[in-house]
Amino acid sequence: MQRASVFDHLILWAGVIFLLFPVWMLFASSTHSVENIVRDGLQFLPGGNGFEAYKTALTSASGFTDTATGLRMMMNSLIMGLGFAIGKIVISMCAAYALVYFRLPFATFWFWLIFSTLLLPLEVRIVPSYEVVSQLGLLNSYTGLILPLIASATATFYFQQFYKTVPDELLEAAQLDNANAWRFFKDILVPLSRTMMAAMFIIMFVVGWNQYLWPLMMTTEESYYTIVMGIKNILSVVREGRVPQYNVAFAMVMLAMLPPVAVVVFFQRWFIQGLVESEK
Amino acid sequence: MLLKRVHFSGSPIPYIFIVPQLLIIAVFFFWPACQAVYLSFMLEDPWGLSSTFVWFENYQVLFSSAEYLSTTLFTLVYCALVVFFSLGLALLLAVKANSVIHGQSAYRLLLTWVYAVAPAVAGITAYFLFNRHIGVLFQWITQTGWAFAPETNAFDASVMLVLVSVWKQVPVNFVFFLAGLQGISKSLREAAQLDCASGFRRFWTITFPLLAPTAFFLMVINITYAFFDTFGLIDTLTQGRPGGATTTMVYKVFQDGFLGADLGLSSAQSVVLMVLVLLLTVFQFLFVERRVHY
Amino acid sequence: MGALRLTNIHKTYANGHQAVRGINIEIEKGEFLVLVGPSGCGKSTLLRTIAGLEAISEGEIHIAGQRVDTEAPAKRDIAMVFQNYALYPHMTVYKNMAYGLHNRGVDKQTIDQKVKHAAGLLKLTDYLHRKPSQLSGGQRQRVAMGRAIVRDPQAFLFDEPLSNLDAKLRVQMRNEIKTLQRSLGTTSVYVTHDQTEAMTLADRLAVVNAGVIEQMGSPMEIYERPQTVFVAGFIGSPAMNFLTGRLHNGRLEIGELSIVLQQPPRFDGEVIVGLRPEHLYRQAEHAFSLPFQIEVLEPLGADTLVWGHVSGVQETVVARLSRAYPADAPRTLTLYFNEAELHLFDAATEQRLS
Ligand SMILES: Nc1ncnc2c1ncn2[C@@H]1O[C@H](COP(=O)(O)OP(=O)(O)OP(=O)(O)O)[C@@H](O)[C@H]1O
Ligand SMILES: [Mg+2]
Repeated sequence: MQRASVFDHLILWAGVIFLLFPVWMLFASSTHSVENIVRDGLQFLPGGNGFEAYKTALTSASGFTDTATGLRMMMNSLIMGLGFAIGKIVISMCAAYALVYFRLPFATFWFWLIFSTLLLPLEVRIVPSYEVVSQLGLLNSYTGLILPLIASATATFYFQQFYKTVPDELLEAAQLDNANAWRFFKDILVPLSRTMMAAMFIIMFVVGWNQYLWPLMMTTEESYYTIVMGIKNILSVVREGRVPQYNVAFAMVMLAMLPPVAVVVFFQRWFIQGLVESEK
Repeated sequence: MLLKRVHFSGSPIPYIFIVPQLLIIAVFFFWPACQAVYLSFMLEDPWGLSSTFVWFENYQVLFSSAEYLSTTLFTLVYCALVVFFSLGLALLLAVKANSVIHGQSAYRLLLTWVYAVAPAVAGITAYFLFNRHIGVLFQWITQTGWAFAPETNAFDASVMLVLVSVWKQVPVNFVFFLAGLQGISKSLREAAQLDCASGFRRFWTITFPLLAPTAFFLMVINITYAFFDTFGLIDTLTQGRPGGATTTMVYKVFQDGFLGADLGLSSAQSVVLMVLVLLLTVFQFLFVERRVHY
Repeated sequence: MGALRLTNIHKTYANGHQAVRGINIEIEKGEFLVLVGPSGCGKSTLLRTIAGLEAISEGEIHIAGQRVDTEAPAKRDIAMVFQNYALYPHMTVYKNMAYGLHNRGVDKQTIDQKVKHAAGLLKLTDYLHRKPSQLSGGQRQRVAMGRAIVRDPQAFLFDEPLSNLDAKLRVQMRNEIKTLQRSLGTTSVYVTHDQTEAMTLADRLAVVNAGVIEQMGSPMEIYERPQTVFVAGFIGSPAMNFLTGRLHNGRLEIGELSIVLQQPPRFDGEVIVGLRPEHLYRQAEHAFSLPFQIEVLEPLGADTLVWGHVSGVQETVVARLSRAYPADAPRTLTLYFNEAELHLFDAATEQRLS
């Protein structure tokens, strides 16, 4: 029994190290000087430069992009993550409400129309989507960044499932309590969905922040760059044969993963719930 | 399809509530999706000035192209490897995490955070670790005598890509497997302990069949991941190099359509992918949904 | 003028099921009407049509003289207590009670006063700031009542409000509901399939079967003079014994038994004879006797149920004998009964004779 348990812990630790190792290497190296890194490669232990590279990454355009600082890009990512999460939750809650609680004409048709979007990820229709957004003049705008990503019914499906589990009697009681459709939504359904909303929010924020391909295609103005797509510029520096400021590059990579990782770590319980529920 | 016994009626509210969603999916989903289908039947001249309707020519070009065939093959093999290893590893970790008594939530935290790392960020992290000049992994591998050269060797590049894709996907599978394991009631596990002495046998005869619905479902999720979500990873790690050997079907849609500006061919590929997703969904409905309730 | 009048109510569900088939009821102000009947007979449906939660297919509903059958539920000035209470889980007890008033635009002070008053009546004052999940079953039940009381409506509608409680609490809450209804004087319609609940609560009882009212009257009236075989069998526990017999020129034949009735109904032919278990006696002062073969004894403490057969009659007969019946006592005995406690039904129509 005892031996088996030690063995279990060993396997789990191996898993933990497997996941942690790459990120730790970049983090440790980001606190070294460029010279150190070029000479000795990536480092296991933190170096003497402290968080200097982070300061550079956040505040200066740092040679990877011309004008966008790390801070600016993080702001854009934040707008994207929040806009996506909030927009998606609000829109899906409303649509699910209409689908579940009303006798809509052609309800079945709307239902299939909305849920057929589950079939096609954005990556598949990426080129025509780009065309549409550019025709609408939405390139280089937050609207253009966010709206096309919202056009899928994952969250709607999830809220629809949730509403169906709300007992009918609550609506009946509310009807006797003179609550109209809007009041029922605002006073009862939304508060009841609070944990679901929180869980959804965590997942959606991470998904929004982590978008790569879409902002890459959409934005040509650097002021709209997000940090996740911004790191691509590190690669172009390398490709041009220049030696990049490795430590600053690593700091950027760290900054790109820090907020979503922090959210997932701090809101672990909601995150797990959101993940398990939303993928169901 | 009536979902509720009582409904609101005679109010304009449902329209106000459903219209935003309908508008957004009409403009940003159905319009592009239809465009993709439409464009797949069109041939644009090289300057993009005019286009002509060419029936299935794009599809013919596509299916007779050796390059597309090899891309398809690579995608399938890559997908199979990612699904197999990320499921296997996650299952192992979940079973172990479920059996330890102390530190379960700490392990769960340490084994799930990678979920939040963007595929593109994972790709660039790996890029540095496998870098010829500074990467530790590169050094370790070459020390074993393997002349590791992902820039030129298709096999090496594929190994690298699969490894990183698995790294990124293990946490999601882990969360689901752990949830599935914790959903198995304690009394059932105790009954199994009375019936079967060998822990290994117990796992394969009791626990695993009960996890099968989760595993089936995760398989679909993982296939979707390997097909679509790995775009950022590929774009930062290999860009399809060497010579298109690590190009997946989705990456090729982007390459042909955006970089190569061959809209017709790219759209035809999109349509092929749509059909694949449709098949996957049908598969999911036929097998997974049915297996969930035993 | 009745507080609540139902005229020829029909309800056919979208799937074609006729749940209510022509029901007429007039309820006086302050009256407590109980609808009782087997599962699926349409009790809930009828109640929900009164509340406006289901639209009626035919008929008219008047509440306090106003025709309301096309009005929205909230406009009918009724309050309902649900089987699962339907409390808003995210609101405190206070807010649960206040919500309906708030939505009707009642000012804060009045709401506060009404909620506090109702909470006092229901002994909920200490729990006003708890959420439903922090309350016991009985307390939740009271909150559901409170939500109805604060509204001071024309009528209370109850749909099996006690069925989620354990037996002891059910008796206690039953009494509380009765007392409360008496003191408030609010017209009430109460649905249940528990006949003890029905008998104890009702001013008037309506026995519903397959969407129609079989009989309506005071509990004692229904117990003493059931108009149909169904009602006779439904009310009373254990259920009434039914024996097939023949009536001819005032002579009743049951198996080998033949008795002359003092006041025979004017009827000749096959009859169903109903005799309640509690109306079979061991004392010889009653007019008629039955030879009885005991098969099973069920001691209930104060009483004993005795199951067995009467010679020449197929049906099992049960008698409720007062006091314990010794297990080693003889297995045959003679039971006595009165003509007045005999129920005779036409075997063809199942309607009461005389
Ligand atoms: N929405 C509906 N659509 C179709 N049929 C229904 C619907 N609701 C109820 N019924 C049917 O109508 C009949 C009466 O239902 P109702 O709920 O009124 O029964 P009840 O007397 O309250 O029974 P119980 O004591 O079990 O609550 C039942 O046969 C039921 O199956
Ligand atoms: Mg009912």
